[in-house]
Amino acid sequence: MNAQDLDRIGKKMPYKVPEGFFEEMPSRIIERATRRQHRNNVLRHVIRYTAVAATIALVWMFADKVIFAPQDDYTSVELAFDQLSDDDQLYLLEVYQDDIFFNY
Amino acid sequence: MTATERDILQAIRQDANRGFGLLLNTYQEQIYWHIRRITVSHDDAQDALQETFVRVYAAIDRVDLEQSLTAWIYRIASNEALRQRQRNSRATISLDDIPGEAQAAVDQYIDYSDLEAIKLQRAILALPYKQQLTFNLRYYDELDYDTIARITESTPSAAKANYHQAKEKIINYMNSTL
Repeated sequence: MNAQDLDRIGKKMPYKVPEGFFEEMPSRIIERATRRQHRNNVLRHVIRYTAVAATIALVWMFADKVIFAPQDDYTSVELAFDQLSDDDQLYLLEVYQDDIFFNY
Repeated sequence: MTATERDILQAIRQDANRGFGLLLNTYQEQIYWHIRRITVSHDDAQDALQETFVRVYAAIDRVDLEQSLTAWIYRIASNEALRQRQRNSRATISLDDIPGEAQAAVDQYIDYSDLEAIKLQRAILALPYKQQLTFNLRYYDELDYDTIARITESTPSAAKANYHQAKEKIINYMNSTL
């Protein structure tokens, strides 16, 4: 065999395709491509919203610790209590000394 | 970029689905045969063809107008075909499968009676992958060496040399097995 023989065989191939294959393919490809794009868009949204939710959660946890953290002691309450008159102090003690929430 | 390539990209920018339909009509058949020559099996070629155009659809907005659309599509198709062939390397249809002896492996879309055509495909498949790709792109698709170089990530002169080496090897293979 030489180059001329190769040219004689030409582009002949032993491969075949099912009947109507090339007519059906475009609609199948477009359907798969649009489905994939929709899935990717949904995935992108989910990732974006998850990231936002995670950020909010982190900020909340941080704020909870910093902004809403209890005072290290009850100094301000005690100062306010000291400014009350003796009668008022006595009244408050009588009312709240057995309160389960205050003594918790 | 050729006038046809520009028309397709312009059509895609005006109406994505209509433009993509135009792209499919222009390329699907030649890309299918390009993939088929690599995967051999029709089922694998069909999967790789669909995946190729799904990827093209997803990235068409980012295609560089200075580059060849044809080379870009062929490059994606070549990668998908190779991936498909490697994925199914154990279960792949071979041109050595003889109908009647290994029915499970025989592809009904291969004409095993055309011995000369079978032998030529065997010779091509025996080449190193880059030479195989270069030979197919030049011999069957008649692409110029610039485009082939873009697809195979080489230079036009290297592509030309690869083609001639491949052709010589194929002739030797055909002679040795005649």
